[in-house]
Amino acid sequence: METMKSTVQEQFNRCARHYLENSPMADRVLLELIVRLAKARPEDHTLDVACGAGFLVNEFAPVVRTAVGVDLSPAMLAAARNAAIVLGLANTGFELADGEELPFPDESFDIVTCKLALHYFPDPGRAIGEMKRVAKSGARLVLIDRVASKDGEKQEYHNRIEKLRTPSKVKVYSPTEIQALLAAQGLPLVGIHHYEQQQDFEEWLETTGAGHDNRQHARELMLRSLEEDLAGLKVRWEGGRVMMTHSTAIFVARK
Amino acid sequence: MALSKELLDILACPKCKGDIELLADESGLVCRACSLQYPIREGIPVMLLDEAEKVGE
Repeated sequence: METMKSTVQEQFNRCARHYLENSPMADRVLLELIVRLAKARPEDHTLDVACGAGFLVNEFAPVVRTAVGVDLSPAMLAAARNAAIVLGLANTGFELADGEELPFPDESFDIVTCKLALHYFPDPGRAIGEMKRVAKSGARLVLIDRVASKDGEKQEYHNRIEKLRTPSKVKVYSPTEIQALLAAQGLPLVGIHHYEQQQDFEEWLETTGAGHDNRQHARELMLRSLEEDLAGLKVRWEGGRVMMTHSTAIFVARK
Repeated sequence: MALSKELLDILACPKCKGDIELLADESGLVCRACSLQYPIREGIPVMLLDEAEKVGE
């Protein structure tokens, strides 16, 4: 397997527990918003690519016919499957698979989602192409990702911090870049929705298990951007803590 | 939780995207066209070419 994907796999296996307990991935408001924007119906078959611990799959499951998730981390998939069993969601399926080479026939799903993972794909265009391939004609494709500033310098500064925290992350894209990726695959955009999450910087730094030197370097870059928002993350002090604002964009496209 | 038939029906070989069959003991999934067997580990099908085993024609 390619080095980048192995790195992603190792990192997520190592962090599964901490991630499950602390992750903003579990943000209920965002999960409910995604299901609503995807216009989930009882007859729908859904696929979540890079499903992690299965939060979104398990959110879709009660309102659709089947909800499937694929990921590259066995630890994350085990957590996802256990959660589905505890919740009694028998219409879920979890499979270890590569988002760039999905194990499904063409035109299989009514809804295909990919949440906070596009920035991990070495070739995001290929991943989106695969999502399109397995989507039925008329299906909704919903891409959810953290987005960087449109300002090139701020985006670069932001990405330096992200890379220190998560070396396996390829890049945090601007909304315009993601729109271009969808357009390149011939997927017309139905709408873009923005969602902001307030995040404690130190907690955020902890969740990927980055090494001491990387964390220290990321901390320095973050503190330097307190005065004039160099990273576009609205960094500020609040009650003795460094807080930041994550911008998440939800892109809804139709095949 | 056993693998449901409906969910298995959607699964395909990641290489040829063709049909796969569940082994009787549910230990793996076989693509006859590619002669590849994909393991199932702790209820999770491992649909990676790197992890697949070549099986007899």
